[in-house]
Amino acid sequence: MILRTEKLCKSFSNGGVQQHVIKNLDLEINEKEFTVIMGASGSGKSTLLYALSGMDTPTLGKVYFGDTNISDYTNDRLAVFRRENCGFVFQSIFLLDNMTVFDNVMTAALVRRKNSPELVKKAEEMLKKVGISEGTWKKYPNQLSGGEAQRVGIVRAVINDPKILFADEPTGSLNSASAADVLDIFTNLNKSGQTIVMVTHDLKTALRGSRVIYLRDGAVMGEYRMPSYGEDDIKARREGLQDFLDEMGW
Amino acid sequence: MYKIMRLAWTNIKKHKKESISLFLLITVCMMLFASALSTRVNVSRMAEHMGEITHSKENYVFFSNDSFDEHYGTLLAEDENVSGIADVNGLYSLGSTYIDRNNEEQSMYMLFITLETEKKFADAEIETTLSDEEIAALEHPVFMPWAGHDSMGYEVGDTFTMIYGGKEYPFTVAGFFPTVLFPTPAGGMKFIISDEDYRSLERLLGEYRGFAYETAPGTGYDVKKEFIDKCRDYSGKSLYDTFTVYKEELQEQATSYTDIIELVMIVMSLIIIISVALVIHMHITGDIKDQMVNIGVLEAIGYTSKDIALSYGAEYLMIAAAGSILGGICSLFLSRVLFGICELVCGTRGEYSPDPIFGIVTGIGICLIITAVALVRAGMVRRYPAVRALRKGTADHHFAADILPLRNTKSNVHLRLAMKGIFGQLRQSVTIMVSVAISVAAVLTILVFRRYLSSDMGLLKGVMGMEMSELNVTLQVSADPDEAAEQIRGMEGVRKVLATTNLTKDYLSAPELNDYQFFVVSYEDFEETENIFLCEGRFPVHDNEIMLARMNGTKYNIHTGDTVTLEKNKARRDYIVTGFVTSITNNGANLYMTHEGYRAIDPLWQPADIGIYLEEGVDKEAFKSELTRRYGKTVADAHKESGEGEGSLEEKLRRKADKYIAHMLSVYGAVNVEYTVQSGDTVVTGGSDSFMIASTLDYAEVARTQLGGFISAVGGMTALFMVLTALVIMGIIFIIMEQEVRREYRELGVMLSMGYTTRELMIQLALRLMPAVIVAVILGIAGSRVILNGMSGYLGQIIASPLVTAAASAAVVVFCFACAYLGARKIKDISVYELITE
Repeated sequence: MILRTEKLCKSFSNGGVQQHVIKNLDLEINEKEFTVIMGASGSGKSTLLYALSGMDTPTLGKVYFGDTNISDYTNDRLAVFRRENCGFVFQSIFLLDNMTVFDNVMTAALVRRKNSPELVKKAEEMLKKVGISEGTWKKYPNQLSGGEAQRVGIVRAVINDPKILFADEPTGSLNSASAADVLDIFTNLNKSGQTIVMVTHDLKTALRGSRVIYLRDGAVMGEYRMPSYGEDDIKARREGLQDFLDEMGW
Repeated sequence: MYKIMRLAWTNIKKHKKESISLFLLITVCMMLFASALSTRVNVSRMAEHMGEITHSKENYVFFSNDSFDEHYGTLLAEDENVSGIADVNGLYSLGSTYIDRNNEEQSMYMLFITLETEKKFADAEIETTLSDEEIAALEHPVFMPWAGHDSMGYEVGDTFTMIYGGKEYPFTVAGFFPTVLFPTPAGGMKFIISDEDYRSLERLLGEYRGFAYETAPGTGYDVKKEFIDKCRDYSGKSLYDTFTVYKEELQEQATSYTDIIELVMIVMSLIIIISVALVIHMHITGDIKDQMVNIGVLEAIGYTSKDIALSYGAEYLMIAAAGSILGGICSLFLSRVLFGICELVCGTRGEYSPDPIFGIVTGIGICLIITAVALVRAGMVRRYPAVRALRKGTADHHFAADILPLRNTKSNVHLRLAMKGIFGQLRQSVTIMVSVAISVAAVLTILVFRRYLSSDMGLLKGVMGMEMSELNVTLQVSADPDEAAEQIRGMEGVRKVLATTNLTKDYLSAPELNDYQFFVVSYEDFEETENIFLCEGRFPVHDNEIMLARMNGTKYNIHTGDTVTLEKNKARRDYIVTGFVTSITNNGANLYMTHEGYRAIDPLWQPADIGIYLEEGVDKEAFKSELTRRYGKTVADAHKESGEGEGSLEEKLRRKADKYIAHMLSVYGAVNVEYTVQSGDTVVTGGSDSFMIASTLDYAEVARTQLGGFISAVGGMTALFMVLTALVIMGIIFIIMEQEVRREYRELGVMLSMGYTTRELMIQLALRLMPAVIVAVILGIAGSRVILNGMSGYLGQIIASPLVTAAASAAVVVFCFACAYLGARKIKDISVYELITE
C-alpha cells in the first residue's frame, strides 16, 4: 500500500454555505495498481484526487503516504512532497506556454535534480518513446495538436520517476484517436510498474485500469477489480465494468 | 459616457491594489510638486516684502570710520531712485567668535548696534518675555535676530558670550526681532546692545558709519555702485573696506537658500510622474492582453474600440484626479511646513498664504499627462477587432527563437528560469530600468553632494579654495608682518607660518566684469599652500599672473591664458589667468595671486594675516591662549590698565609701559616701540610686540558655521528624498509584481503542481527584475556622474567615493530584490486545486 486515507473530509464554503464534497472517506491505493476513480459530475472525484496527491489539504481526516501523514504539511512541504513522489497529468494539459516542448519537460526534471547529460538524454528518449519527434522539441505548446501536447504532458509528469502518477481526465479534451494513443502510454507505464491514480467518467478510459472505485456524494459506493489485462479479455472487462457501473447507478 | 465610466470603475475595482498604489504615488507627486511651487512663490513674496514685514530699509552702505564723510549723505540723496535715507552706525566684527549652546566656540560675523540706531532704519517688533524694568536691570542685555532663537537655540534670559581677542564678553539675551540685515549665523547676525556696551565694544571693534535707504524697484545695485563711485571721487579714497547690502541681493539670498529644497522636491515629483506613466503604459498593455476575450465580448455586444480605450483613459483619470485632490490638500500642509523651514534658513519671518491655484494647476497637469498616456496606450485596443480578440489576438503564438534552453543549464534552475522570463518581459524591464535609473542617479547625486558638503571637513576642505591653517591671525596695522611671522614661527608647536592677505580688506575690482569685486588670496609661493587645489592650469608665479575660482571662470567664460584687467585705487593692470581653483567660498569670488603680483597694483600693500600651521597633536585652544597672551594684547585693554594695583614691581612696570605703548600706537600711529627699564638690579624690557595681533580666526569653524544651515537643510532633504524614492520604487515594483503574478497565474500554478515551492517561485520572479535593476544602477551611476560633473563646473571637483557609490548601488539592488520578492508574495494565494478545477 502506497497511499491511504483515514476519515478524509473536504468541505468548501461559498457565500457562507458549506458544501461537503468528501465525507469520511477511507481508501487505500496499492503500489503498481492502476486505480480509476469514477463517478457522476460533482461526486468529488477530482477533489479526492487532489487531496490524495497533496495538491490540496483535507478539511478533516488524514492522508498517509506510506506511513507518513501528509495532511498537515505546509504548502511548501507539500510542494517538496509532490516533486519527490508525484506526477500529474491534467485534462487541460497546462503546458507552460512560454516554453518549448523540451523546456516544459526539463522544467519538471530540474526541479528535482541538477542538469546532466543523462537527464537530457532521458528526456529525449521519453519524448521519442511517446511519439514526439525531435523536430517537435523546439516547438511551443500552441504549435502542437491536443494529442501531442498531452503526450508531452505525460512525459513531463513521469520524467522524475514519480512513485504515483495522478491523472485527471487525461483524455477529456482529446479526439478518440489521440485519446487511444495517450491511454496506451498509461497502460504501458502501468505495465512497467508505475502506480497510477486516474479520474475519468469515460468507460473506455476506465477500462485501462486494474481497479475502479465509484464515488457518489463524496463517499465510496463500490469497487470493481478488473479480471486481467489480456487482449482476449477485453470483452469480459467491458461487460464486468458495465455491470458494476449499472449497479452503481451510473 | 455613463457606460464608459462604468467600465472604468469596474476596472478600478478589479485592480484595487494597483489602483491604490498608483493613487498614492500620484498623491505624493502632487503633494511635492504643488508644495514646491507654493513654497517658491511664498518665499519669493516673503523676500520681496521683507522690508515691509520687518519695517526696515533694504539697502545699506557702511564705511569704516576712517573713510566716512558726512557729505556722502548729500551725494546719496542726489539719486532720484533713492528715498528715506537714514544715518546708521555699528560695530562690525569679522574676527569675533561666540560660545554656542554646546559650549563650543563658533565663528560668526557680528554687527552691534544700539536700539536708537536700529529705530532709524528698522522698526521691527522686538519679542520678549521680560518687562522694561527687567530689561533695564540687566547688566549687558542683547536683542538678537529670530535665528538666535530658531537656529541657535537661545531663549530669553540665556547668556550669549562673545569672544574677541581671547577675552569673553557675556550678554544676557533679552529678546528677539525680525530683520533683513544680518539675519542668520551663516551670513552674520545683527545684535542690538545697550549704549554703554556699545561704547565699550567700540574700543575693540571698528566702527562703521553709513546709510540705510530705500530704492526704486530693480535699481539697488546701480544706485549702490554709482553712490560708491561718487564717494570715491569725492574723497579720493579707495573705500576698499566699504560693505554694502542692496535689496535685490537680499532677495536673491533669501530665495537661494530654498532653491535646493525645491529642486529636490521637483526632481522627486518628476521621477514619480515618469514612473507612474511607465507603469500605466505597461499596465494597460498587460491588461489588454489579459482581458482579450472580455474585450472581444464587449466589442461583440456593441462597445467600440474607442469606448474601451476611453474607459482606460477614464480609469486613470479617476485615479489621477483622486490622487491630485488628496495630494493638493496635503500640499497645503506641507508647503506651510516647508515655508517654516525656509523662514528658519533665511532668518526672516514672512506671511504664508496658501494658494490653491498651484494645486489646481499641478493637479490638472498631472491628470492631463496621466490621461494622455493611458489613452495613447489604450489605443492598441483598435488592433483587436471582436473576432480576433475572442481568439485571444495573435500575440499568443510563439514563433520566437528558444532563448536560454534548459538543456544547457549549468547554473541553478531557478536562476535559469528567471533569466528565461526576462525576455518575455522586456517592457516591464524597461519600466523598472527607467524608474530605478532615474532614482539611483538622483539619490547618488544628492548623497554624494551631501557627503561632499558635510561628512567631514576633509571633504569640505577640498573645495574651500582657501588655506585651512589651524589658526589665522590678523595683525595690527602697526605690526611688521615679516617680524610677526618670524616670532610666531619660533613658538613651540608651530609647523609653518604663511603670510597672506586679509579677505575683509584686500580686494580688487574687475572693471570689465561689471566692477565685480574679487577677494584677494595672496601667497609668496603657492607651492607652500596645502589646501588650494588646482583644477586646471598652474599656480601664479610671476607678478602679472592670477588664478580664479572655477565657479567664476565658468560664470564669466574666462579661460586659462585670458587676460583680466583689475583695478585698485584707480590703478589698473592686466593679469594673465594661469589656472583655476576649486573654491565655493565667497561664492567663488576668490582671486589668487603672488605677493609680488598684488604689490604690482598696490605698491604699499603688505600681508595683514598670518596662517599658523600647528604640529600634529598640539592643543589648538592652548596654543591660541598662549598666542593671545604673548601677542594679543589690545590697545583698549592697555588703556584701562593703571599700572597700579597688585603684583610685583616688574609686573607694575610692564603694565605702565604697555599703557604708554598703547597711547603711542593709537594716538601717534607708532609702528614699533621698545623699552628698557632698570630699577636697581632689575632690568625690565619689552615693546609693542605684545600688541601685534588684532584677532584670531579659525577658518574651519567659519566654514562650518557659514554652511551649517545649508548642510542641515540638505541633510534633511536627503533623508526625505531617500525615503520617498524608496517608497516610489517599492510602489512601482509592487505594482509590477502584482500584475506579473496575475498574468502568470496559470503558469505559476502549474509550476506549483510540479513541486516548485512558493518561495522558489517568488525568488524566480524577483530574480527576473534584477538584470533590469543592475543595468538601471549602472545607468544611474553614469547619470549621477554626468550631473556631478556638471556641478563640478561651478563647485570644483566633486569626488564620488567609490565606496559610497558601491554601497548605495548594492543597497538599491538588495532593496529592489526584497521589494520584488515581497511583491511576489501573492503567489501564496494561488491554489493549485482551484487553478486546475476552474
